[in-house]
Amino acid sequence: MTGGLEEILLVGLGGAIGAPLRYIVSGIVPKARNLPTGTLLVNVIGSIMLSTLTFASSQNISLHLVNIGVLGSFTTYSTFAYETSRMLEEGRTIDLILNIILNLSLCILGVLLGHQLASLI
Amino acid sequence: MKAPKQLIELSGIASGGFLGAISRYLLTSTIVSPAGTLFVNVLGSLFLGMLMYDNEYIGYIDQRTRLIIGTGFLGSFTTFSTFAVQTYSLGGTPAIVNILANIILTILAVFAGRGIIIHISRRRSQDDWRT
Repeated sequence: MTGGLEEILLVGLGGAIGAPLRYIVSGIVPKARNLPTGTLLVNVIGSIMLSTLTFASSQNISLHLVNIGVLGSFTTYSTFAYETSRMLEEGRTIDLILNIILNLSLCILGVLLGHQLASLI
Repeated sequence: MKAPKQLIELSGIASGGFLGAISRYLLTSTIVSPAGTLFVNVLGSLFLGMLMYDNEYIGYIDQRTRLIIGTGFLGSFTTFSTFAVQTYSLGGTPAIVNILANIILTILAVFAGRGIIIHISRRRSQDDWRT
C-alpha cells in the first residue's frame, strides 16, 4: 500500500498542516469541568471529516494528503491517553470515565454522521 | 512582538507533524488494519509518557522541544480519527475488543514510559553518586 516518494511527501505535508491546526483549535476551547475539551473537539471534528471522505466514492483523490496526512495528524491519540492517565493517577475517577466515554461515543457518532453525509454526496 | 514567537512555535509543531505523519504512514502501510493503528497509538503513548514525565519532574527537555516532539511528532504519529472509523467499520464484538485494547494498552504504555524514565534517571543518579 505504501506508494512512492510523492505519496510519502503528501502525507508529510498533510501532517505539517494538521498538527499546527490541532494546536490552534484545541488551544481556543475553554475547559469544562477540568476536562481536556480541546483534544475532544479536534478528535470529534476529525472523525466526522475522515468518515465522510472514507465513505464517499471519490475518496482516492484525498487519501494521502487529507485522510492520512491532515486528518490523521489533526486528531491525536497519545495526548488523549496521557490526559486520561493523569486523571487515573490523580484519582479523578468520574472525570476519567467521562473523558473516555465522551471521546469514544462522540467520535463514533461523528463517524456515523460522516457516513450519512457521504451518502448524500 | 508576539506573532514571531507563535510563528516559531507553529513551524516547530508543523515540522514535528511532517515527520510524525510520515512515520505513521510508513509503519501502518505494512499492516493496514486496526492492529496497525493500535501499534502506533501504543508506541506513541509510550514515548509521550516518557517525554511528559521528564518535562514535569526532570526538566531535561525544554518547552520548545516538548512542543516539536510531543505536540508535533507524537500528536501526528498517533491518530484518533482512523481508530474511530476502523472501530465503526468493525462493528459488534471486534469493535469492543478494539476499543478496550486501545484504551487499556495506551494508558499502560503512558505509565510504562514514565517507568522507563524513572529507571534511567535513578541509575544515572546512582552512577553520579558512585563516581
